[in-house]
Amino acid sequence: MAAPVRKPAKKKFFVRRKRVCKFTVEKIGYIDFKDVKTLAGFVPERAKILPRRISGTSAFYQRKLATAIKRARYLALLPYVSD
Amino acid sequence: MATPITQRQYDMVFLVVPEKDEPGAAAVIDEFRKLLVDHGATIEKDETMGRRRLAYMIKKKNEATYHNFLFRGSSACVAEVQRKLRLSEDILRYLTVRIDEEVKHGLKVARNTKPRRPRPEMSDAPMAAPAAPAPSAAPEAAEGRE
Repeated sequence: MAAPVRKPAKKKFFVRRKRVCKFTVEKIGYIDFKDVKTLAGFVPERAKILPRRISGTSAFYQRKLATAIKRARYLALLPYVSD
Repeated sequence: MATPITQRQYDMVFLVVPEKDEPGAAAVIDEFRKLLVDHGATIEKDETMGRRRLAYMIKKKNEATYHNFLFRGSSACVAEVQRKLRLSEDILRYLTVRIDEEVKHGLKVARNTKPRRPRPEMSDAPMAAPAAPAPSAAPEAAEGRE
């Protein structure tokens, strides 16, 4: 009786699906620091840069993304900190 | 001396002080547009991003008019325009980034990399559905366990 109950619970933990790198799929060559809409998706409430273990971004694009976010921060398009 | 000056592609954004109303800001922008052209730059994109709220305060200002120039020009041209931007009291902040190499390299990488996620059985379908593996994986796992 206990086993069937536990199984779906376990599955649920696994359902946290690995995401695909958005930039690789869309074949975006250059991440524009002016494109706040795209960047904002990688900056959650706390204004930290979303780690790629969560977003699924590839290493190459994560580096590009980080510079783009930092440039946008300098221009006050994105916050450095927010509470 | 007679060597051709290398023209690079730059992306420049600057913030005009909020005290300037629309024509005032336009005048400031015109001034820098002229400056760029006078120094031999060819402007490829000239776009006002409008008046925006700043994500944080700069010099006790909460708003600014953003303007973006995408242009080709020499490093001397950029140096001079940046100097003027720095001196101008109508400019809150500016950023110039040389983007030609970045774009070139980025496009090359984008051409040569494929998204990796699709599962082995699906790999012959060229990256059709990135969302597909997750749902398909779930029933398989369930079957395996039972």
